[in-house]
Formats: sequence, structure tokens, C-alpha cells
Amino acid sequence: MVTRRRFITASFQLALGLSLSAYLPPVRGKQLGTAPAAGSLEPNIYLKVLPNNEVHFWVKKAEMGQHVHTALTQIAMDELGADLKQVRVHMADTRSPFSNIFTGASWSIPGHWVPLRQLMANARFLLESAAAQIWQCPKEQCLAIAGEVVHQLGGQRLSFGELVSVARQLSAVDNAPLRPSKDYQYIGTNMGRLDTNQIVTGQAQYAADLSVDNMLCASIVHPPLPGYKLKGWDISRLKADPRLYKQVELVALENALAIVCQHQWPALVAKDKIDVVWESPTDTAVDDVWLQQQMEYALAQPGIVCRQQESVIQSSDAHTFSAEYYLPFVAHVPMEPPVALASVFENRAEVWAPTQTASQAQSEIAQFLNLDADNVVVHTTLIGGGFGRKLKNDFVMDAVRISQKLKRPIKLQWTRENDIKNGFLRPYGKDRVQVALDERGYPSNLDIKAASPSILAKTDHQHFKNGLDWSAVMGLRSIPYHVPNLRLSHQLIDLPQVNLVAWRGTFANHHCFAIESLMDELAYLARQDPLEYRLKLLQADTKVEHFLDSDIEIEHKKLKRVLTKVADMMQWKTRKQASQPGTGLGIACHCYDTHAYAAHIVEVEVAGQNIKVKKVACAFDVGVAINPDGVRAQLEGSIVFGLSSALYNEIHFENGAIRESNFHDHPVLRHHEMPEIDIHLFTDGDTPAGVGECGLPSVSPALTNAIFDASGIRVRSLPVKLV
Amino acid sequence: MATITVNNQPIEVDDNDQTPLLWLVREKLQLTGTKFGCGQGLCGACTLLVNDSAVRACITPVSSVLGQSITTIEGLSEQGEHPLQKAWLEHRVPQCGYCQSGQIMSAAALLKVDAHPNRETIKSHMTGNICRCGTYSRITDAIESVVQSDLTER
Ligand code: FES
Ligand code: FES
Repeated sequence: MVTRRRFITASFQLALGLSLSAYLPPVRGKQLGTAPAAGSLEPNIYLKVLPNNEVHFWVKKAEMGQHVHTALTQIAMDELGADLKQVRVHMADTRSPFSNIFTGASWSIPGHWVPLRQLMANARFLLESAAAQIWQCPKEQCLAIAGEVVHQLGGQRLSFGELVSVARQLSAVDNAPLRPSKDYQYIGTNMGRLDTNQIVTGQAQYAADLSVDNMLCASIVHPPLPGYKLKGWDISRLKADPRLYKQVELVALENALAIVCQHQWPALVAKDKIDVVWESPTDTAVDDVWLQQQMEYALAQPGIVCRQQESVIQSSDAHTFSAEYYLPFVAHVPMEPPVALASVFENRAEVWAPTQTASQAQSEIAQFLNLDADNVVVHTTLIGGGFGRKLKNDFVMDAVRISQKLKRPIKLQWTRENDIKNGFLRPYGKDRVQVALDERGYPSNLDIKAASPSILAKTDHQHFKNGLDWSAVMGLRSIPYHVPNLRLSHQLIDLPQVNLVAWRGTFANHHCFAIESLMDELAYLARQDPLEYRLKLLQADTKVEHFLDSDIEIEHKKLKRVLTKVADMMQWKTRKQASQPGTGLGIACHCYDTHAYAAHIVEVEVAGQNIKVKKVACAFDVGVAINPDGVRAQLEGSIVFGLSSALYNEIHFENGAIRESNFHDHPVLRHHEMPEIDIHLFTDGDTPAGVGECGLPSVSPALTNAIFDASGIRVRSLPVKLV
Repeated sequence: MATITVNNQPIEVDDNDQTPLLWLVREKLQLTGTKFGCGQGLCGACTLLVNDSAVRACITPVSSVLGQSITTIEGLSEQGEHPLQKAWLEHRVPQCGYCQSGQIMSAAALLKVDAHPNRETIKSHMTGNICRCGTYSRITDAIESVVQSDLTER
């Protein structure tokens, strides 16, 4: 029998000096480990300093490839003054004291930047004060650095562990001064994932890799669209394989049929041998034609204005321009298909899942099982790609329902087909644009009417204000270009027939595609260089009210800076002048709501219907880069994700079901198509911007603008189809 | 009964076992580094080596590899000291990490037939392995760095 070499993990942790305990499998009969509390310093819920000098740090953000555990550790441990070698990082589960475990909206780092440092500064204050007490000196002479408090004059040192017993006795402070940025040891340095070693040796454990005693494996058949009910099933094809038939058990749920077995593979095979009959909730056959009718109907409605300004100068309206820009439904297809392990007992439940919303899962489960939330524990496992898909806990609830029926732990593995055909999608959306131009070719009037379904529940009153869906106009309301007369509106499409959720940037993608394509079209009409045309219209900062947080303020100088920088990187001016037919450069920019500024230039070759993306350059203003290499990784990923969606991704509906099913009919960018990449970061701000979603929206319009430059073909609808 | 070898250990199997290798290694042998991504041979997440060739374990029945030698990511090196694993660390390749064992096994197979592939060869060889997080350029760089250091060591 092959044994797992667990010592690998340990020895590598030693080599790197860091360890990550969060992803250990559920230990049989034992809860996931928490650090021993006896005699430790626990100045806040995220931190424990032990007398043996270990520092334990809990994070509430799920790691899904965005290196958030690395970045949060860098921030916290820099402020605390710990040595990363002594630090153990844990993913928080939903047990008290942790709540609101949610990962999304590119908000983990901006949202933690001040509060996390403040907590750690307060903790450092205790350690430094303890040293001052021991040395009988003013506290100002004691500074925590690299896991020790050092006397600034005498040079004496005490390790954190040695200070714990005294520090525990001191009273807490809540506004200790933050460390000056010049003293940072970790913030601003390049680091990989804390568990890279486990990943490259195959030891990192995702939800599918876990098992608990008495567990069964499951697969599942879902209805074609939400709202269907299970009516019946025919197992004659399954019975034709008696050996298989004997091994599996069927579990009927209200809106799905599960197949359960001792092992995973038979459950997966059996699933394809069952013909399930569903009861449709409506007579409407959802298909592409019907969906486009809904879109046209919505665009014919007045819509709700989300920003309007009228200037006294009335244009002559001599020239007008109109166009429509369209983005389709798309799936997320993270490499890890949804999977969850659920153990439902008489009066409690414990779940392990790659969810971006563990606390939400906890309350959904508690409500479904009629339990107190305290009796439901949700462990966030490593996430093998989220992109917004795993904000929804439908797959977690599937596992909980099966486990509840069978009274045994269930590991439910969705297939790729389950994920594409029955999962959640990013909505389609169209922006209808009408422009009046002044005599120099600049817009004097701009009217954009957008239509799309919502990704929010209608009950989410916080995000709906005056009937307007805040999330659906992200990137539209904050259009940064100067136009004297502006009217931006949105019309919601009611679409309960389709499951919808956020998707890396969601509607910022739709509106950035519209606005940045439009700028290119107008520049062309005005016979101006697309870069110069944009720079001309970036005249002042844009400030729009944000429904939830502080106002969105876009600094035009920062947007201009990323545009000019990316142009320099690609020698835009000289190369545009010397451009050959069949080759093209396209530019686009975007400022995301989290104050990250991005500009992209894409270089393409177009021959007939073939598009070859040769190079993509990106200039990105992130304010402060906690982990510059991690920021770059996200920007590289955004380029790949953006090209995938622009070139390939589209979900079709026919006869009331989704047509696509796996990577053969839902392709994503592959390795041989990978362009050369060049990235420049601006890091001279004082606050880190979010990154995960922010480098994505401008990729698609930069591509289609390049296609226009190369071929004269204007693409206004994605994915690109050159006919 | 028949035997296959997994990471140098003999394993007894049923000689007409139609179960894909993926589930044998993941479930019976608890070698969970090999991942399930598509189940159709389309994504490469399940890549392992059968006698030095990269094979998609999700569509390879156990019965088709009787008597052969299989290497999974866990068996690539004793403690992660394979040059590719070290290069992956150095280039900080993984994002979510889910595709990476498959990527490394495909790269290992490439280097077994061609110790010094150029960039274009690397890219076309690796094209069966999807990375949805978009780590492709780092993968190319990491493999290339292994090739380069092999060349300089000569
Ligand atoms: S899981 Fe085998 S190729 Fe995708
Ligand atoms: S690292 Fe996430 S799919 Fe490759």
C-alpha cells in the first residue's frame, strides 16, 4: 500500500518557515485543531501568541488562488512585528467568535487594511509595554521586530513567547499608533502561496480529498432549470448493469435525484444511466430567442436613471452615433467542480466545502435543518477556483439534504456537466448607446440605456435603491469621460428562470466593454488617435455616490497615467503609425469601484476568421501592493480570463435547457494560445486597492479594439465571431 | 487478479476492472493529488504518468494498464525535490492550485521525451492542461528554467 508522506509537508514548512493548518482533513472524532489556549496572549479573535513563541493567526477570507492568506499574513505580521517563521495561519470556521465569513467583491485587502493593522498594533503595544515593564524603561524604547521586542538603546531582546505572561496582565488599548510604512518587512515583498509546497507535491487537500468515518459518496442529477420538481425516474438502463445497480442507492430530493454509493466512480456512472422526468414550473420554453425578446422588451421600457447631468451648453446635434454592445450569459467553470462533504446528525451538522460564503451556508443549513446556527459548523476548505460561482451554496445544500435523508456523512461530487448545465451564470446584458457629437467630434450628449437581469435577490433591499439595482450599474455610473449632457439608465429584466450570480467583475465587464468600445468608435469617427481622444476627455475627477460605502471617486490623472504608461510599454505611437494590415493594437482602461486603475493594450493578428493574440500589456495602479507578485499573478489571470470570455465563452439556451456541458463545447483559453504578457504596477498610493476583479473589464474591449485596428471589423457583441 | 505498479509499489487489481485509474489512485490508494476536473479527458487535471507518458487518468480504465508502471504527483519525487517542483516554487506558479499536479505531470512527461524543448514546444505540449486561473505564462517560464539549468549544467 502506498503511504502518504505527510512529513513532506512538515519539512517544507520548516524550509519556508510558515505553516498553514487550515486545510487539514477532518480528524476523525476530533474537531479541527485550535491552538492550545492555556497561558497564551489573545488580544483579539484573530491572534494567539503562545508562551512557546508560536503566533497563531486566523483569517476569515477563503483562499481560492488570490493569495489572500499570504497578503493578510503579510499585513498582520508586519504590524505585529512577528517573524513569519513563527506564524501558523488558520482558516476560520463558522464557530464563535467568527461571523460574516465571506470572500468576494475584491474587498478582502482594502477592507482589512486599516482595521487589521489597528488590531495588530494594539497587540504589539501590549508586547512592547510588557518589555518596558520588565526592563523598567519607557515604552518608546521598546520595539517589536522579527518576533522579538528589542531595546532601542541597550539592545536587549525578549522573544514574544517570553513576553506573553507579562503582556497578558496588561490592559488592552484600542488605538495604538500604527507602524510607519518605512519599517515594513513584509508588506511590499513578493511571496507565493503559503502552501505552494503542498500544492506541488499533491499534498494540498481540497474538499474532494477529504473523508470522514462512515462516509458515502454521491453524484446528482439536477433539473434543466430552477423551479422544476422531480416527477419520476426510469432506471431500466441502470438495471441492465446489475453489478452497478446493486452498488448504488437513489435518494429523491424535491428538486434533484442523488445517487449514493460506497465509492465515487459507480455513483458517477449510474447517474448517466437514469432518465429523470421533471415537472416544469411554466409553459415558457426558455431559449435564446425568448431571452433576446426579453432583452428587447426591457430596452423599450423607460428604465431607471442612475446618473444624469445636463449642462447649459446645448449642442448643435449635427452628428449622431448609436450602437448596442452585448455580453452573453457565461459560466465560471472553476477547475474544481462544486463538491461538498456534509455530516448531518440528530441535533447538529458539520460541513466542509469550498464556499466563498461560509456564514451564509451556516444560516441556510441551520434554517433548513431547523437547528440553532451554533449547532452548524461550516469549514471553508481550499477553493479550487471560485470567480463568484462559489458565492452560492446550492451544492452545499445538496450534500446536506442527502446526508439528512441517509443520516450518514455524504461527499457530493458535482461533475463538470452539473456545473455548466445546472449551476449559476453571469447574466447577459446590453447597453444601448446614443451620442450627439460636437463639431470637433467629441460627445456633447450621451445616453446609455442598459438592460440586464439582476444577480441579487429581490429581497436584498440594501442593494436596491429607488428600484435601481446598484450592482447592475457598476462601472456605468462611474463613466470617467467628460460629456456635458449625460443620461445613464438601467432596466431590470425579471428572470427567475435562470440561476444568476456574480462573475469576476460582473457588470463592470458589460459597461466597460460598451464605454471603451464606444470611445474607440468615436475616436475613429473624429479621425483621432484612440489614446489621445480618451486623454482629451479625461478632464476632471468623477465623483458618484455609492449606495453602500463612501462615494466612488475616480481620479482622472491616475487613469491618464495608466493609459500613457501602457502606451509607452507598447510603443503605441510609433507602432500605430507603422501598422500593417492584418495586425492591430487596441487600448482600453477601467477604474473599478475599489479604486484600482487598469489600462490594457492588446496586439493581434487577424487573418480571415483567425485571431492570434500576440501580446497583452497592462499598466495597473494598485495604490499599495502588499504582495506585488501576487498582484501580478491576478493580472495575468485576468488577461487569460478576459481573453477566454471574449473569444469563446457563451452559454446558449435551447428547449428550456443549457446547451453547453463540458470543455469541448465550452472552451477556455489554452496554453498554446497564451500571448506574451507585460505588466507594470504603480504602487505609490497610501491604500491598497482590490485586485481580483479589477484587471478584467478592460481586457475584452482592448481586444476588440485591436481587432478593429487590424481588420476594420467592429465587434459589438461577445464572444467574438468574425464571419 | 493482476498487478500494476503505483509509485513503485505493486498493487493488486482485478484484471477486467473498468474503473478509471483516477478513482483507483484517489479512493483506493488515497493519493488525492490527482484531480477530477472534467471526467472526459478534456482538461488534464487528472494527468499522471503511465510508463513515462502523460495519461488522462479519468478516461483510462485500470484494465488497460495491467502490468504497467504508474507515477502520480506524490511519486514524482521523495520530498518535492524534482526540478519541476522546485521551479514551480521559484516561479510561484500556483494560484488556486487545483490544476497544478496535472500540469507538473504533463511537464514531467515532456522532459522525459525531450529534455530541451523550446518555448513553442512547451506551449503546444502543455495545451491539454487547462488552468482556469491563468498561470500559463508562469508554467512556460518554470519549465523553460528547468531546461535552461539542465543546459548550463552540461
Ligand atoms: S479530469 Fe481527466 S482530463 Fe479532465
Ligand atoms: S491554478 Fe487554478 S486552475 Fe490552475
